[in-house]
Amino acid sequence: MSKRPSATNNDPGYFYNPKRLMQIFTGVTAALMASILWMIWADFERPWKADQRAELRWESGKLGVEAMLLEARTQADRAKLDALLEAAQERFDAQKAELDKIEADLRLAESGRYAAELDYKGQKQYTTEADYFVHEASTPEERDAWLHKLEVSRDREHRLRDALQLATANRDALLDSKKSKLQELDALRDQERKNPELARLKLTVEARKRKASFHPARNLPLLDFLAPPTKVEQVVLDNIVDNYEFATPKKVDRCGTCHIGIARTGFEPEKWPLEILDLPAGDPEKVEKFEQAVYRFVFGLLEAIWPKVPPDSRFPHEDGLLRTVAIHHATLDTLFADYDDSDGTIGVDEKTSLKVWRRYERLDDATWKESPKGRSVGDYYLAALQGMASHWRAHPHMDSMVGTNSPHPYETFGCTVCHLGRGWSTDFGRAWHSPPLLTVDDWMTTERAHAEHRHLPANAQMSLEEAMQAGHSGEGNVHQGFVSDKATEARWKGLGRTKTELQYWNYPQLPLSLVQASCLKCHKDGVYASPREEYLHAHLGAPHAGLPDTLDYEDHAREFNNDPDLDTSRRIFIPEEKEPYRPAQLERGQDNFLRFGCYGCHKLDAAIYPLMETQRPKVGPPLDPITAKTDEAFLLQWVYNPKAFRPDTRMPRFWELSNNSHTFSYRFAEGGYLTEQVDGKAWGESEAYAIVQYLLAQSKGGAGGAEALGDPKKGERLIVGDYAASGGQAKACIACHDVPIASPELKVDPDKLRAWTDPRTQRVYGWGDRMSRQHGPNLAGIGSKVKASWLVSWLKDPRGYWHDTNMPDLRLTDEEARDVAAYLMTLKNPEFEALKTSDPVTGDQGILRRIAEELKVSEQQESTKDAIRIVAGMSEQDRTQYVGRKLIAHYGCFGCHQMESFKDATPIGTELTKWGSKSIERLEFNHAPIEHGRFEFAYAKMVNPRVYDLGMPRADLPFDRLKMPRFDFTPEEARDLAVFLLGLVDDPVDAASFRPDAHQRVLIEGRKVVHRYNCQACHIIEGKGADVWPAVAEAKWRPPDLLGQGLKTRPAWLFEFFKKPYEIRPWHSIRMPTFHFTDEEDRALVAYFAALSRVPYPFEEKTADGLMQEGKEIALPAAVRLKVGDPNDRAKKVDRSVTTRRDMANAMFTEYQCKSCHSTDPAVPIGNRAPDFRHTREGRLRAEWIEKWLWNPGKLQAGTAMPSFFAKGQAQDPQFFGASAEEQLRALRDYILNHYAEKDR
Amino acid sequence: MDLFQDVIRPAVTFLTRPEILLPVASVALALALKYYRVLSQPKVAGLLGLVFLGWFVGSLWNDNFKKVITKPDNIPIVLLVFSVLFLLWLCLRRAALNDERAERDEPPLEAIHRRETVLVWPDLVMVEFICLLAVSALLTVWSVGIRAPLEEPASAAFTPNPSKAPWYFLGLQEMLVYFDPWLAGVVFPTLIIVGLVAIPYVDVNPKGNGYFTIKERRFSITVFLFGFLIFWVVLIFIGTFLRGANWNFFGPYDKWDPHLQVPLNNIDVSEIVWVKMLKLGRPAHWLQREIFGILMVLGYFAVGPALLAKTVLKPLFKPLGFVRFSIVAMLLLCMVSLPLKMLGRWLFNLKYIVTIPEFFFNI
Repeated sequence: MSKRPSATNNDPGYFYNPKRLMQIFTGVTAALMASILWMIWADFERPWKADQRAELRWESGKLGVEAMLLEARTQADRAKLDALLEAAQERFDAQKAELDKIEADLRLAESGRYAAELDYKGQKQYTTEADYFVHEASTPEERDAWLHKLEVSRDREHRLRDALQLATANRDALLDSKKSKLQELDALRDQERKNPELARLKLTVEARKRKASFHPARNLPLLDFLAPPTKVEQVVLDNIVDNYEFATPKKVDRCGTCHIGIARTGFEPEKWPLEILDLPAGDPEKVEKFEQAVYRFVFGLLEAIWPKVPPDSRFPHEDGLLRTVAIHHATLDTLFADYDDSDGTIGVDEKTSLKVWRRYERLDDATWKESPKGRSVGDYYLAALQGMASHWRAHPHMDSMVGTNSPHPYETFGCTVCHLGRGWSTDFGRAWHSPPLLTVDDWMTTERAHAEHRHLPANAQMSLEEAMQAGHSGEGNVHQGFVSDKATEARWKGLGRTKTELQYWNYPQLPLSLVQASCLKCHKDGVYASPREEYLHAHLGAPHAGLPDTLDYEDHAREFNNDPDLDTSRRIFIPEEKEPYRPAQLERGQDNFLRFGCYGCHKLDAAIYPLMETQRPKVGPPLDPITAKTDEAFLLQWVYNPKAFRPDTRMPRFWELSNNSHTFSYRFAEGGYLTEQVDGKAWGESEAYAIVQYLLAQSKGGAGGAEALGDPKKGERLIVGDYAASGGQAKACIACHDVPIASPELKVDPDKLRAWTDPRTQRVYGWGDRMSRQHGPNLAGIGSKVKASWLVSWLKDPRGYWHDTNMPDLRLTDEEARDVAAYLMTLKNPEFEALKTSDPVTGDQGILRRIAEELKVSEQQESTKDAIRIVAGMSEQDRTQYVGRKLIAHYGCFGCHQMESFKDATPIGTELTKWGSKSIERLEFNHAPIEHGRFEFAYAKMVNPRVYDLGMPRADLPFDRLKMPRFDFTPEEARDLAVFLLGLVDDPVDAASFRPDAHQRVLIEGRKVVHRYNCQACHIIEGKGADVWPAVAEAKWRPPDLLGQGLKTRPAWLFEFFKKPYEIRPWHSIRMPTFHFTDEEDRALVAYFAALSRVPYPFEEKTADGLMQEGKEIALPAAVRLKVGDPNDRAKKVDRSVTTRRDMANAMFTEYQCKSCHSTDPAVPIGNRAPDFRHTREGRLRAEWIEKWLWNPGKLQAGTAMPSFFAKGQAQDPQFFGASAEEQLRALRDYILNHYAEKDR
Repeated sequence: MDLFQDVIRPAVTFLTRPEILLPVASVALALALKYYRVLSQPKVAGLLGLVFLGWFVGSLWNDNFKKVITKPDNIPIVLLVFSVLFLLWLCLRRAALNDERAERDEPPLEAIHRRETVLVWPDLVMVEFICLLAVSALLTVWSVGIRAPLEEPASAAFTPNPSKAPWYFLGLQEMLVYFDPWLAGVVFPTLIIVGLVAIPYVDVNPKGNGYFTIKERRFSITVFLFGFLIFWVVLIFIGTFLRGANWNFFGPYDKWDPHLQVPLNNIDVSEIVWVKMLKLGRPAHWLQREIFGILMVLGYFAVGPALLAKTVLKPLFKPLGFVRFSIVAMLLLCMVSLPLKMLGRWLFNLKYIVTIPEFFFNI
């Protein structure tokens, strides 16, 4: 309370002390001023502005350095051009006086003309005025007066017009007389402008210099609104919207505000030159300017990216600027020391930087002092350029993403469509950047996880770790396969972004290692880029290309693109120096989803995801005829724990998992009779026992009899597929199956089967990702699994047992089947056999009774009392059968296995169609101490499907527990699957979605068939495959590369061949099996090969008989004489006279000795060098292909034995058809196509 | 033993449960009004304030506490808590001083400082201008220092969890937990306004105008402070700081876990009477079924005023007269019904006293 000067009521004295008031006023004003200054500064220092300023500083340095580099490099050229200019200038100067005189005269004449023009135009106005009033006059007097004025004015006007004409003529005459002289002088004067080379050089340098000029004044706080050098860069996407249910605004991405070089050419790190500049040492001024530019440039980089650089090393030391740079490099080096690249997971950016930094590690003090100054500056310039490991760079896959010519340009697709996050934020944290993935290890042990879960039971964490680690029998363990980068995470957390916040945005950015998930948004078919092969084939068939003499894809593509008339939308995509971006994780995840039969339990809407065919066959074999295949003892062990038999089996396990492995107690909902401890193992075994008993009772397979087996040695050779070893008959089971090979001489190095390089083309083949041999089950230990009689019948006719199997009919003879079976039956699994006696799986009738009671109650039809009564009334057998049937329904065995009694059952799992959009809060993490994120949820679920039961009360009830079985995925498989699940989002990108055209649709459908039947195990298709090749001793015995198959064979023939394959190249060691394609699959394949080669389908060219015309032979102009080799003695030439085209073609056919390799005569045994010409009779080849093949066989099939008769475009033998290569080709083509067909007629 | 984990955290979590916090706060307020002369002494109040401040500042070391307290939305409520406590103290203190003076037959402090006129310049304009500048500075600092709590554009598919009303309606939202929407959202807010409007007409006490006192207006001050502090400010406090995901209750140190499971097995009076006590099953007709609840409600409002007039509010009946007293009693009963219903919920899982879904009528 202030002191009051006056205390009386009506005294107008001051209520408050004025001096005190002024003091308060001053204080408050100062506070307001300070707060406003703070506001200005806060606005000025907003992170994106600070970042852009740093970038500008850095870029201006970069441009300055570039300009200087360019100036130095082009000095000689410019000097030459400058000399030219100077000469021109001299000549111009000499005539300067004359030019001045002419120009003065011209100016004079022109001014005279202009004055006359003004006079004339002025007078015209008066005439018009007078004319008007003559017509509008109200009295005759007035009219007369105006008439008079009009006449006078007209007179003057005419005179003035004449004067103007005279002046104009004067000027024109003068101009004409001096025209040539003026032009000459003009040319001299414009020399600089008219010299495009010089102009370009200067422009580049000047533009860089101009851009490099950096105005700090424009960047001052509060002044920066005048001409702001920093601004928010945003793209508004026309076709892609954000979905807020009732509103769908266009997506806005402001990522470019900070990621400033993301779509700019010239900012790709790999394009920056790695060369060192020699600066002229004698020009200290230049060196100094250069240093300043480098200073700005390097420091722009350092200050922006590495705020952690200690401040005391930020400023020049006594040695000067360059020394400082060196210090910084050392600092950065320690920063980079955190990176460990042993698992190859560091991104391209970091790698480049590492390389550069390491280069400079050697630069110690002594070296530093000795090195010439200028050179070092250049070095450091480049080092800093290369080391720009940051968000200023261009996108690392500019060819496929973001780039203007890529399929996904920045302006159309933005950033957050793929990367997710909040596009309209210019704040690091609020854009929802995600730090790199933590390892599972980290998730489990973070203290944070414990602190946040107050309901977590005391020892839950231990049991989770046990659950995650123990019992993982696959390769490796859950700790592998992730980047653990705690340093980065800590840094990101410092920038206001942690993963534990679950608010404001349902789609946080995907960590870079998961970003492929977004491809699925638009590419719901799962078709991804492999344009290289596609266009390669396109060029074989493209009409504009003529007969190509090279198959080099990129050369052709460039030639094609250079066509000036070409519509730009048809430009061929040329990946520069690297493969197009391929979302391999997503592809593998999708493959895993199908391969492990996830769709058996989890619906994926086929209307949205075409990769899910509605009638997709189940992944497991049918169980109805099971007794024919194996016996009870095996089934018991197998069902209880399939991994014990074979760790890599796709059959999952249901028991001994984290929520049913330990001894546990059951709590019954009401009634409470089941409170005693029950052994988890005994319970699980009893469940398995009941299931097996049910299967056996339902089986219609019969028992299977004894079978006489053949020679295991022969069988083994058939399996390997080696021609020499198997005596000409091989089946190559190893193309699809892993089979242990006993004989050392037949073994193939497994690494060779993974990926191998063709020595001729240096191309790498093989699947790489997943070996084709994992297509079918691993056959190790098969002898302990199946009955011999079943094996023989299966080998002979797989579809007889399992209609939907992918296993082809190998067309084995009875003897071969018995031989192969004999070898396979020798493959035993002794540990598993021992398990049958040492640890048998048995059913405990007491437990079975309890299970039955529990099931009765869980059906919710019986009270506990009734359940006990009903179950007690069942016979043992009935009870077992009841439990077995119920458990199959409970665990959903029918999702993977065909079972007649469950044919109408519905899948038991959660529908996954929109899983990736599920709100994270709606995922049931329960007490699992795992970071709350979609990926983390899915990954942990893959690794341990029961993990979310941890500490949950419901886990006490046996049939309320989670029931997804454990597949023992490898960490990579689990991650890939999780990536696939992340991609299953409900996002309105329809307008931008990838819609395959007819051609692409055919490719998609074809690839599905190729994939399903594992064609690439034997053949090279789209440049991929042929895993089996290294197992075949000689190159010529290998299955063919199918490059250009569509161009080569006719659709009708190919269709029939797929239905019923036969031998074309008898010397090949592996025979194409019969796949029993459906008509749809067959058609899809034929169309696919046609599409790959870009030939029309189903139409083909009509092959007219080029040898006949209207039933008559085509006559040649006159009888032509040829000297051709005597058929009996080729050295001896004989004279022949030919009159028809057919004769000449025949002579040429003989002369080129086609028959010496290609057999023609049915009587002659089929050779082993080239396909029989008689196949042309079956309509195998396309005419077009024959021509191209003859023209240059080596280009179509690398390393072929077929010689070229038209090397360098010249016919080898000039005496046929006037030495015309084209005529010869056509004649040979017609002869081959028609001759044998005709013979048959 | 971990002092925080084993003592402070369980204690605070217990104290802040609504069923504990509301009674405790009510008792505290009652005590404060009873012993205001002792409590408002600067030393006592200062000590209490320091304890509270110490607890508050110390708790900032807990991540979850800090997260809720520093949420930009919640900053005004933190200010509200402190300013309400301060102003409460100020009133009590002034009232204590005045009441002491009155006992000594001295005029109240306000009477000494009374003055009819002041100068426009500088007394009025200068002060206004200083306030303007100070508020401008404060708002500038606030808006730069704490970011606007903007969220993503609203989407029906992803509603925020918890979905909270604006802070000044959080009391109403809290009431919705215990009452049918038409009561909590329509009747009670209307009654609050009606009650406030009625004050000049039912207040016949000539004393206590223009100065702080408790002694001379004990009844009206008590009723007002209970209504404002307990049923409005405390409910806002609960709604802001203690209601988390799914509108579940969380202690100040708990993480707002959206997966927290809370049993919700509330039952109606008709179920308690017919099913649990009489074991007869609920009758089909609504009148028969709800007869006990209806009688309870009617009894409450019919017998309540008479009972009050005979007992607690006996001294008021005469000065107010029948009509005024009836109005006051009805309004008071309505206000008291809120804590009564809450107690019913906490003690008996009471859902509705009368529930007639046939007419969409629930009490």
